[in-house]
Amino acid sequence: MSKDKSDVLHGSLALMVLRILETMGPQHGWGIARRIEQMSDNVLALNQGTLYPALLRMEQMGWISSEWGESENNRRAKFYSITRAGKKQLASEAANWERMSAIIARFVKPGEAS
Amino acid sequence: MTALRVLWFRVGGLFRRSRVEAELESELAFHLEMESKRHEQSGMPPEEARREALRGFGGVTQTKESYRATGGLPWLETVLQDLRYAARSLRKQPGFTAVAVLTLAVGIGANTAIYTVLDATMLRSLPYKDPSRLMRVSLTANPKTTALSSNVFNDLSWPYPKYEAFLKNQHVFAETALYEFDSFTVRGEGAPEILQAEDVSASYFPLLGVRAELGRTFLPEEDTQSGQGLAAVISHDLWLRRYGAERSVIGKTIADGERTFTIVGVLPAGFQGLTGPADVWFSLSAISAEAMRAAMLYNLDLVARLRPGVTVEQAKTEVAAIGPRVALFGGVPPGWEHPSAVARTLEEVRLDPLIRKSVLVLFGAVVFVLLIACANIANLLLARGAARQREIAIRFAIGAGRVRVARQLLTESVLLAVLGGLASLLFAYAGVSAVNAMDLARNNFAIGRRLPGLTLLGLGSIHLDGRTLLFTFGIAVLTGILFGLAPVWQGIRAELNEFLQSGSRSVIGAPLRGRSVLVVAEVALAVILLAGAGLMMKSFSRLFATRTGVDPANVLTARLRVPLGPDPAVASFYDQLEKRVASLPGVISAGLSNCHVLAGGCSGTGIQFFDRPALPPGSPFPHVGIYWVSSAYFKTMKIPLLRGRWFTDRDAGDAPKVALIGETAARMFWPGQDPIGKQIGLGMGGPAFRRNVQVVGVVGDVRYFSIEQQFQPDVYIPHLQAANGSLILSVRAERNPAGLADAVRREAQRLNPNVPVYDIKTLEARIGDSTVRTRFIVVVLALFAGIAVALAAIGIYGVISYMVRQRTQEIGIRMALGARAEDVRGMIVKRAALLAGTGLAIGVAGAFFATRALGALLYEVKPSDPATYASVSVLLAVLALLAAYVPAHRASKIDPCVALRAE
Repeated sequence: MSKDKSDVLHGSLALMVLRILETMGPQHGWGIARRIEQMSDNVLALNQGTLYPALLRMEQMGWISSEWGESENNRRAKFYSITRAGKKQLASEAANWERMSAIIARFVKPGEAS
Repeated sequence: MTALRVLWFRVGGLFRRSRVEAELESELAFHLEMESKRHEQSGMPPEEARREALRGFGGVTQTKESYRATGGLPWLETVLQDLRYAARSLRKQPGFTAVAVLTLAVGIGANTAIYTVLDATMLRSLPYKDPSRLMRVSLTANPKTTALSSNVFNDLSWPYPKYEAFLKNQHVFAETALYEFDSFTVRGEGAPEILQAEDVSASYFPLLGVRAELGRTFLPEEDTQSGQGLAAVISHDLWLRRYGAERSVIGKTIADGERTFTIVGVLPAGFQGLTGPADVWFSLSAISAEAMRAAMLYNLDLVARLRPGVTVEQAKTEVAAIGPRVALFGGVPPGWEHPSAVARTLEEVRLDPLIRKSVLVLFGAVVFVLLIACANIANLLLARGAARQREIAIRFAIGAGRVRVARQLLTESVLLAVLGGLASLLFAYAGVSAVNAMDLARNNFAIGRRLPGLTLLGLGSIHLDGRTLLFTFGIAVLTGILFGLAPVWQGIRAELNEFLQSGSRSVIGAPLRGRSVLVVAEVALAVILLAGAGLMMKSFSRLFATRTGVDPANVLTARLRVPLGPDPAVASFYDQLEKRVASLPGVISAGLSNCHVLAGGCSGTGIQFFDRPALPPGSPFPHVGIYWVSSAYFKTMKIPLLRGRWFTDRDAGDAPKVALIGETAARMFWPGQDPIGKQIGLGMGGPAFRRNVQVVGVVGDVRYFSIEQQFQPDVYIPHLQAANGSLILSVRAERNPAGLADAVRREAQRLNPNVPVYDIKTLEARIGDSTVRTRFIVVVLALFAGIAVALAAIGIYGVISYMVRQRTQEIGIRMALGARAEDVRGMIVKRAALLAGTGLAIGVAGAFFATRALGALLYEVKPSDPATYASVSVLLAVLALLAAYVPAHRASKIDPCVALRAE
């Protein structure tokens, strides 16, 4: 894996997955992985394997649900979709994230913090 | 909430394991396939595309591991792994496993069986609505005349008028209900059947929170004679048994040839009344109007529900305060001192104190048995552990932590114990069936007296259920941990000893010492049990040898109940019946009385003496037992005449009133004088007996209360002068009298078809029944002691054989140096004697304290009875030496050459 790609920030993976499922509807695991890479212009290096335990954990939390279905090339694939609880989680996480990044941005802007 | 959801998922994951795995597999395969296809489309050759996809994925195996950790319960999986390992290790040694499981099954099974009794009689909450708010209110009087040292026994029932007075004066109870024990012989359709019954007020069922399953319970107007006929409610059980569960049972009648009742309802399955497992309930109208008016007929029990907000203490205080007024209402029999009333919670009157004590003693004994079983299995495990030490040491060597190894070993013990627990259910089932086969609850006269309080209710509800199964499981796990600690301790020592480096001999001393301690403990516990069993056995033989005052051989007894009528008619019925039965072939004589031997006493009254100055007014008369008998009764029972004369046929009707007195009464009231010809007055037997009754003779004493109780002062009056509707006919036959039952019944039916003949039993069986409690404890304790001694002997045998095996070389050397066979035997036996002797000494000291718990259960034997201790010690010493002799003998046969070459 190339060094100029950043690791996925801890905790932000769930946020991304939920956002993708909200905007794009039900997706299989590979689709989610591809989408994350595309959205980050291939800058974010998702270690794709880590996605699956994360999906399972999110399913356990009740944020997403899964269902077996047919993929675009007529293969059996597991599709994930966001649940009502997931949407609620996404809203609060997104608000959190914005607040957090605004604060971080203030620190990072030259000349203001010190 | 979320945490629960996650747990649910994870537990589910455990069970759906293979499916989850397969799904993950195909999900990941799909991902990799899509990814490699993407790379192929961008121009890579297939193989490289595949490699690139795998690289981007970052480790399929790690993903799976991480997925599994998220999806399952890792610690539970370790437990399952331990269990699998333990099961494999137990399977490898079927002999050891079988012995251990069997030992545990006996130990745990006995515990479960006794616990079941304990649970039913003491622990389980009473099967009524809000039972903690229920109290039983009783009358009390002159506590000094009661036989046994418990206040439950002093409680008297209520005459109806006194109950009414109580109702007017009390403010602490919201509801009250009356009930009375009864029995009933159904005649008519089908075979006659004696049923246990209760006479109850209409408020009884609502107060207990019970509704009819079919039909209704009693209406308030049915508490009094209404001319509507008599109502009955039957048990679910009787409904199934006698009426085939037909709904048309409502409106049918049930009759005993004397009274006819209309069935108005069926109670739900499992309901038991306060007097035990009844089959049929009658409304209070079943009791005659005269009986309800009698202010001194103590026959009804009173249960009451506290008014909301009133505490138990407040109720007790108020009942004690109004007690004397209520108890004196309508008068009391002469000689009754300090009449009052007392309220007790149902919990307080739940169990006969002696039975409570018996159950607790047996429970203690059974815990000892289990402890011995534990010691034995720990011993077996230690013996096995010596062989396993290498395995354990290797586990340590390759880095297993102490906790991990300890957990592994404990898992094995607990698995063993749980297997034992499962097998024990068979023993527990057999034990509980055996207890129920005695049918203590229905054989209510079996104990020699009516059991007080709610004892029968408890005895009638002994069965295995979820609670007892939970107990079994709990005790099995506890047992497993207890005996599992020995090998764990040994295993950890193995690590400390660095077994692998120091050679195979270094740890031999330790397990031998540990095992010796266990054997000493086993012997000590066995001695305690044996001492307890020995004391009970001695009590039992004393009970058996105690003179009852009658000769029970070849005597049949039957109760009869003549409908109320004019006195001469009642007396003449019994007189004719007695003469007819006496003339039957095979019958030596027949006699009448109103009271069974050892029945807990029947009627008592005050006695007045007209040959001495009158007592100051208001002072109590001395109390005597009073018995209605025929003159042939004494001959039939072989009660000797000591002075004076018997009753004759002329002592009848209006002839001068006469009485016979027992030896104790003669000694008590006329010490050093001749009582013949003295004039007395008696409180019962009708007005004519109040004065000028002449004592005509003195007869031998009879135990009417119980074997444990001393002779009481007794007075007999002729039934021909004082009729009694309810009498017992006793028939002495030339040989086994059981076959006479039909003939007696036929004669009674011929004289008066409305007289029920019931409760037919030989006198020997009746006397045997009255010792049933002692017999039960003796049998069970002896059984437990037997198991304990056998286990202890096996323990000694095991540890001595182990010692011989370990010392083979040393013995070989000794023999090579000239030791003779008897020297070697002596050396080994001495070792066993040391173990047994130590155990014996500790055990005797322990027994000295432990057997105090038997206290009131012993009869004419002190808990410290030296003879019992001596025989217990001898028995145990002999057994211990026998157990040691086999390995000692084997040791003396060791061939020095073979032994020395062995290593």
